[in-house]
Amino acid sequence: MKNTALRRALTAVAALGTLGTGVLATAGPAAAVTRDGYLDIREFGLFYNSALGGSFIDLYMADGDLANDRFISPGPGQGYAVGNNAASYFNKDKVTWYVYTGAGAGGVEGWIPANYFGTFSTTFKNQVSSVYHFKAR
Amino acid sequence: MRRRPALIATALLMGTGLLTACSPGAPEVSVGAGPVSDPAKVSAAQLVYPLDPYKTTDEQIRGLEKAQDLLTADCMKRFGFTYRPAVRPAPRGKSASSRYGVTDAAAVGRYGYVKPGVSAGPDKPAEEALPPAEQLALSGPPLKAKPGGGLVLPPRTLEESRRTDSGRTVNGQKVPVGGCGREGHLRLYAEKKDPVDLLYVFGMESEAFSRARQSPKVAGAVKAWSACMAEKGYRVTDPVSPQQALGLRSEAEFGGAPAIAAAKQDVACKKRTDLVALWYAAEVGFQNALMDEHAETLKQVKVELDERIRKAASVNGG
Repeated sequence: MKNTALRRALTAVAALGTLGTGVLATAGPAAAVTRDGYLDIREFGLFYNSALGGSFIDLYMADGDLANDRFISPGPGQGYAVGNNAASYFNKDKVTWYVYTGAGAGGVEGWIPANYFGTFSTTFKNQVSSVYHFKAR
Repeated sequence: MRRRPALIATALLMGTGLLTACSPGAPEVSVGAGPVSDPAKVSAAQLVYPLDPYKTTDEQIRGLEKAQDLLTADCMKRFGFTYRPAVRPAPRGKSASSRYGVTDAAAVGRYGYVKPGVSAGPDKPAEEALPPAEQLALSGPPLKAKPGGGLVLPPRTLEESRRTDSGRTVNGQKVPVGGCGREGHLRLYAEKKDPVDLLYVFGMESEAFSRARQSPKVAGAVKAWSACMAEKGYRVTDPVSPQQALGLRSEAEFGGAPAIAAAKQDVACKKRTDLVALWYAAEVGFQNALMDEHAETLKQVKVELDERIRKAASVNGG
């Protein structure tokens, strides 16, 4: 799994080199390609560190078990499991995303409006295990 | 505003022994700070919590979404474009699923671990790629990467955004940082002041849920639930999401005959061990304790929520 994530990241970096840009960030006009290390419009990003820091994963569709995913983009946390490890988020989608502390929309439910970013609280313990681009419960 | 106990709630707490709960890490639960629902009488999905009045309801979320779409469209109009909001799934009725995993015997007898009407999830149809100028107006220029990973934070308020030059123009107009999508959000949520974290209440709920899970009574009930599951050969420790441990790997498997059999046992074991009632009562105690501890911030959360709802209604023409 980790190797797969690294391969994805290396592919993304190689693609950047081809494009002549060194920035892994929101994309240009291309359609969102999920899990490619670019946070495009219509995607939801989960970051390893607080305040959009470290490696991140970009999701186009719901993911019922983040334990099966790895942070993709270069940076601290790359290759680590996303489940219970995400410290911040950016909803670049046009719709509300829902987050759950349990896999498969179990546990406590939270919602994140379009174009909002933030850090999962450092005051309270919350570990996001699944995310959905719709209300899953 | 805070829902303080009814006699029935006090009785419920006494029944679960939480009024005298003084285990390490447990909150001081005072008489009167109790549940507002009786888990014996309502389904786990319909339980009411002390923090509920501070949460945004589904209907309010729909109003906010509509208002944000209108504000984004207003911004796009400035650049000469017509904004097309995403198609959202139709709202569903009250959910039968709970935060404690499966709890409804009738539902699991039919659906197993599938959430009725939700499991497959609404599709997210691909949209046609926008022309570059329109795309730029909507989402702004790419955010800068931080050295060492991650993204540079965009402005947090509309005021700050207006003071920040994105360096790009479309049809003679300055493109906001993050484009009209971000401007639409900021106009509704953060014109002048960065609001309290929109996930603040979620954080409190999560903390209470997780502390309750670790409290001795609930931890004991979870152990008893595991033992009960083991009677039928199921080796599981997580009553909220046991699917993977049960060897169920896909949504299709969640609704199959083996899943239905396991889910039936799951619900029966939760009932036998009184797991939901114990967890709920402990959670309510922890929520009340956290609410006391963070009363000032919560007050602000409520003020901002009410203002936001009023603003959305005004944008929506209500």
